[in-house]
Amino acid sequence: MKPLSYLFLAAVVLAAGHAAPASAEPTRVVPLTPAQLLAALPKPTSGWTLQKSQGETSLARWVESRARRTYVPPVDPKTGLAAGLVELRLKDTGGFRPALHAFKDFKPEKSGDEEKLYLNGQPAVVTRDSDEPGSVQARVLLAGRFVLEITTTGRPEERLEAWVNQVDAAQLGRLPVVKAETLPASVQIVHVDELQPGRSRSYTATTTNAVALKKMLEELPENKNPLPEEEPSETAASSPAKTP
Amino acid sequence: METNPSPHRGRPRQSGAALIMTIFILGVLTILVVGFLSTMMTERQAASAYEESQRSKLIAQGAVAHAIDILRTNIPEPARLAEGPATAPAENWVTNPGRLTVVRGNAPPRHVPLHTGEVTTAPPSGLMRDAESVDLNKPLPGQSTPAIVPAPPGSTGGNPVMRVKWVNLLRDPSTPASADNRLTGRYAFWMDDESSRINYNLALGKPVRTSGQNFGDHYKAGFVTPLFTKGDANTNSSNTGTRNYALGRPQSVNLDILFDTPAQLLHEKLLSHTFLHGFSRYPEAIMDFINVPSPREWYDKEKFNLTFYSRSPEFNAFGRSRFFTTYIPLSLEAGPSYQHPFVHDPANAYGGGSSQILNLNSLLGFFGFTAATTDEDGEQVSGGNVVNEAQMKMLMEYFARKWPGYQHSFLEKYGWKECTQLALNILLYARMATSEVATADLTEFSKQWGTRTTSVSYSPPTGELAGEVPERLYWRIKNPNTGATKLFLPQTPGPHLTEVRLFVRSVPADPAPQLDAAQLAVYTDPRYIEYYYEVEYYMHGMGPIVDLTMFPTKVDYFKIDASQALNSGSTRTKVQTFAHKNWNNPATLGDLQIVAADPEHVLGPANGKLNNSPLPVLNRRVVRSKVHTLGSRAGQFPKEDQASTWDPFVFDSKKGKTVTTKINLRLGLGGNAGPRTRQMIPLGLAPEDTLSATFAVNLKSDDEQVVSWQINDPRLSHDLANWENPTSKTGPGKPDEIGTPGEQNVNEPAEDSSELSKYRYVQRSHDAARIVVDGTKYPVNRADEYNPAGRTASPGYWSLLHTGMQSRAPWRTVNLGPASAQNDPPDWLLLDLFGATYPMAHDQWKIDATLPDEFSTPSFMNSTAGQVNLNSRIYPRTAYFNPPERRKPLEAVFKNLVSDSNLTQIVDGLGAYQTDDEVFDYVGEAANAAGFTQTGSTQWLKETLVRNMAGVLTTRSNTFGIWGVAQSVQKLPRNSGHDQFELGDQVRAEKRFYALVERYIWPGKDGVPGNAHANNLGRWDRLAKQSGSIDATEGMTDTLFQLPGSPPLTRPAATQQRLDLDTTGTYPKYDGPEAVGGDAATTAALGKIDYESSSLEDAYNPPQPVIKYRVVYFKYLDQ
Repeated sequence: MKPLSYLFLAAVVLAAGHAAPASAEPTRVVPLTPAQLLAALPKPTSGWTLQKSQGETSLARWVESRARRTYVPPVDPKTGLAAGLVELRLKDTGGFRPALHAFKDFKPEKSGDEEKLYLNGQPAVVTRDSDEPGSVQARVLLAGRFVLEITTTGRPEERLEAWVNQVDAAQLGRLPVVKAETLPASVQIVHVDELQPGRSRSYTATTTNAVALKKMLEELPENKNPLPEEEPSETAASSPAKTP
Repeated sequence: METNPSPHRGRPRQSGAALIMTIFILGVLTILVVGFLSTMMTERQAASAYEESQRSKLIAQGAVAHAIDILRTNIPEPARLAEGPATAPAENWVTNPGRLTVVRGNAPPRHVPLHTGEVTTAPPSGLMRDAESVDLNKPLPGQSTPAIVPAPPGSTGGNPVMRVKWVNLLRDPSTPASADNRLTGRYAFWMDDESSRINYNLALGKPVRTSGQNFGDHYKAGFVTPLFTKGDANTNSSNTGTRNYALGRPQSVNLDILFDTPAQLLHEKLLSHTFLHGFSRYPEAIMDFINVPSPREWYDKEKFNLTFYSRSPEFNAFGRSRFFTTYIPLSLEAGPSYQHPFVHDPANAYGGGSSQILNLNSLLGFFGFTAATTDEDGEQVSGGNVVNEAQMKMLMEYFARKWPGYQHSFLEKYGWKECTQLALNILLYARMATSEVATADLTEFSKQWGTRTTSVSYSPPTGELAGEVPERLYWRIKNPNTGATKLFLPQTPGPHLTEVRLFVRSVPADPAPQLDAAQLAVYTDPRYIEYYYEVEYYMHGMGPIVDLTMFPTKVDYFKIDASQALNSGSTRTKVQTFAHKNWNNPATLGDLQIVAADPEHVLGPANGKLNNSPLPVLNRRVVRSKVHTLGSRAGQFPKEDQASTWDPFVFDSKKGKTVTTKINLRLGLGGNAGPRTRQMIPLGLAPEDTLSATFAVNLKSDDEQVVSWQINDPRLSHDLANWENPTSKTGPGKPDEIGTPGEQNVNEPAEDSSELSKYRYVQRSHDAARIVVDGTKYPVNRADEYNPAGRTASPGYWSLLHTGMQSRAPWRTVNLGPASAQNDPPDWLLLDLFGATYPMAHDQWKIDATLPDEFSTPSFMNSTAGQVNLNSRIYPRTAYFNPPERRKPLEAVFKNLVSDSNLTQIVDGLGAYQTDDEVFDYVGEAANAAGFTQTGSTQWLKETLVRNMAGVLTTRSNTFGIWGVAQSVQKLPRNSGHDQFELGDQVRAEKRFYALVERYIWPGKDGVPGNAHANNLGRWDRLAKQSGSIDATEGMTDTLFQLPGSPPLTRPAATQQRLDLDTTGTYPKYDGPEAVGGDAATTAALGKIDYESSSLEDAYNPPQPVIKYRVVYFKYLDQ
């Protein structure tokens, strides 16, 4: 076999290896915290500044945690202006399949202003917004469940890989997680703002118990025998007087 | 010649002896005659003295009769049965010591002296002081202590003078004075108000507020109500130790204010005596319960402030029974009367077929909620619903009245909508004050809490809006002006929804419609529209800890209108509407419900704790709905579990980036156990009665957009404008930037704000629920009304009622502040409608221990013992009638609630408010007195005194102490002022007396409440007819069912101590001239009414309140 053939085979295997995580049904887990995701995002390099550094939890069909940093490049001494900006959004989808839909049956291709390719060896969907020239968005699948979104505005597109390089996907994938088949009963909804800590907040959101709801609806008297309604006797529930 | 000595040589001496003998005999006879004459004279004098004494006693009795006549003649009678709230005369009356004031409508008050005449000037020259008046306070002969009141400590002016004029009595008062019809006697009296004194049988006193102890911490935290402890192991029959009393009961008055130290009053001994033996029945009995060096000296010093018997009437300014909150009609022997709360129904609106219907409408509370009856259409209807209707009608009639002394009605002040809302609020508050809830299990408690707190919702008959839930449960009230129908829900306690956030986003079309990838072949970038919502639950202060799963959020209407502007210039639209009649329909709206997933997630007040559980208690919880997807079929949610039901509507981002999505949403807080509604956002039926938001959904992003609606006062939820105004609604925007889930809302006051300070209700809770005060956990639940620690300790707690729900006035509640800060009429007039409900306690029910009567039941036959009259100003007010001002009884009311210096200011202010022309017409009027409204940062704190103590305050009395003197007089024959007492006239006898007269409701000719007929064995034989026998030998069951005043009762379970009303039973028969009956609903809810016509004089059990007077106690002071 010619060396070129080996290279081709290797490319196919590599490509298959890249595609495999996206096409298989991922295991659902409870996502990492927004703080953990923020820690995985790069610190601004010399001359760059952080405009935003926030994290949050999203609860819909599944739990998703997100981290977002907006980087502003150094001021161009010629123009006195910063040359565009870059926003990195790192999402832990928890392995929820629809959230990874963009990477389903992934293979490099180009369609309109959307292009599927590998960035740094990771499946990526790059969108060049025809309505906003110079604006590029890349979604990169990391470790099978993380999605890194890189949005550059007014920046050289060739630097996308450099940004992907700065996120240690392997390290993220090694962090311990909890497997979960169904939504947790309650989720801590977190908003972290590293630059304005006073705006950080969190609360617990309880999810709807669909099973209990179904059971309750089936058992409601008005769904069986609508009227009349009589209140249960109080005395059956009464107890002797107590002196608190 | 010598004569023969005669043997009778001494004859001459013999003749002298005879003389001597004669003289001796005559002397003896003289002595006998003189002695006899002397004895006869003494006897005659004694007989004369006795005669004069008896004559003076008869005069004294006449004086008492005169006093009673003054009261009977001038105090307005209760309204007639035929005079309902709309027509009963507006006649208010108040009493002061020595004066009665009657206020009719807006006419000037009429003052009636309660004495025989005031003395304002010195007597004319030559006329004796005592010829025209008498000092009732002068010491009795041989004593130095004034008869009524001594000089106050430190006084240098000698004993107080209490001089009133004599009433002169002619031999024949019916004819003019003449030489043949002269003055034969005279009397004078002054009537004290026993309710302006401290009733030592009840005034156990509240303790000093100490941090770390029940009362201090309860008070600080704002418990409804604070409890204090009295008594020891001897206190009750079961030796179970101390007893708890709710602040606001008559036991809250501090008798110990009359002592140098509180310990000098033997509280425990006094309590155990009154508990086991009933009230003491003579004034001096208090000396058995004190520990002072000289009890008699102490008594003489304080007797002016003491009474053993005081009662005040529970009728409102319209002469009708006040409202009592009670679980069932209480035994007449053990609590407030069920005998008089009739409503006049000339139009036969309630279907009773009688012009006077026994609706028991003065009893607010539980009634009828478990009873079903048949309505006029032959349909089944909730008995409680009909009772509510009747009670609302009655309340609205009151609201339309002008209270005596005021220019406007509440209807004029608040309008019909707010008044209707207030009437509903009253009904639900009463419901919460009287209902029973299972407290042993959190989930069961929560379930029952959800039911009980919504049972005042309208309960329609079958066929009325059949199947429509929740619509059929709204009160549909016609605007009296326009006839238009308006919907109402009563004010309910928490939990409430305080924020709604609606989320919308686009997501990749995964899985494909019908789970068939081929369905997406025509799309380049297929996307669905997803939506979901979340709600924030909130529990107010002192609210119960509940299991949120029992309080699902339900959606009554939902519409989503999604329109994509295509690149081609056209639009692609999909509309789905969910408007099923039944919001629990499992196929449609039911699927939009929110049910908290974790049953262990509990909601409670901010400082709530579950005693033995690590579960966190939060006062706000956020719960999210399931995620739904815009579907293709009308009124159907795409359901992912089956290919046939998974049919989302697909948009293609390549054909247009944005889908304008408009959503209309109407949701509410329902109950797990049934269809009832506790909150609607908003309350309405039309598609426009909805929360509305429009989103520009980006089909190229998975990011959600959110709109938030918040409310500050959730009791105003029914009004859409409160949710949709610019400060309440935010978004669309990013989730972390829109809304305040789990946090204080934007327009919501802080937890410790004045606005939220009155956002609380009667305390009920799961057994393990605790409120933490400074690290100490206190139980939250309050006992029922048969317990001194019960729920309705003071009518002042009705001030928690909202008055702004229909006026967009958040947090506005019944204002107990000064009238000057309110429109006419002041809100506190409403307290005149509510009576104090202080029935006998559970463990006093055993009649083998003591027969209950008015001496052992604080609240009895529309009369309450131990209340203290705000009108403390003593009349007459002249230089010749100058007893010290009576301050201590009012100080005793507020003692330990405020500092001693503040206490002085308060009583000074109450005294200064009273002038010759100004009295306290109503208890709430105390707020007008300077210094009465407390300083504090919240309305709750400012209203402390009236709220807590209205239950022991009154403005009028049913008991009067008559201090009098009666003399038998003999005119000097030559004196010519035949009807006057002149120089030379003689006082032949004098009696000074004290009589305690009670104005009371006549219970019938048998003298016993109820139909007290006895059989030949001496047993009551016309009792209530009950459906079954009750075994009274077990436990502490209410044994009063054996007495003639008891309603029909039943014992549903052998282990149940508390008896239930036997709704299949019959009340003791009513009689008298005015017919009463029961409409169908009331009969079904409360039992049958039996009536037999009789004259009033022959009535055993008259429903018409008839006032009579009796002498409860009488004593000649010199005996």
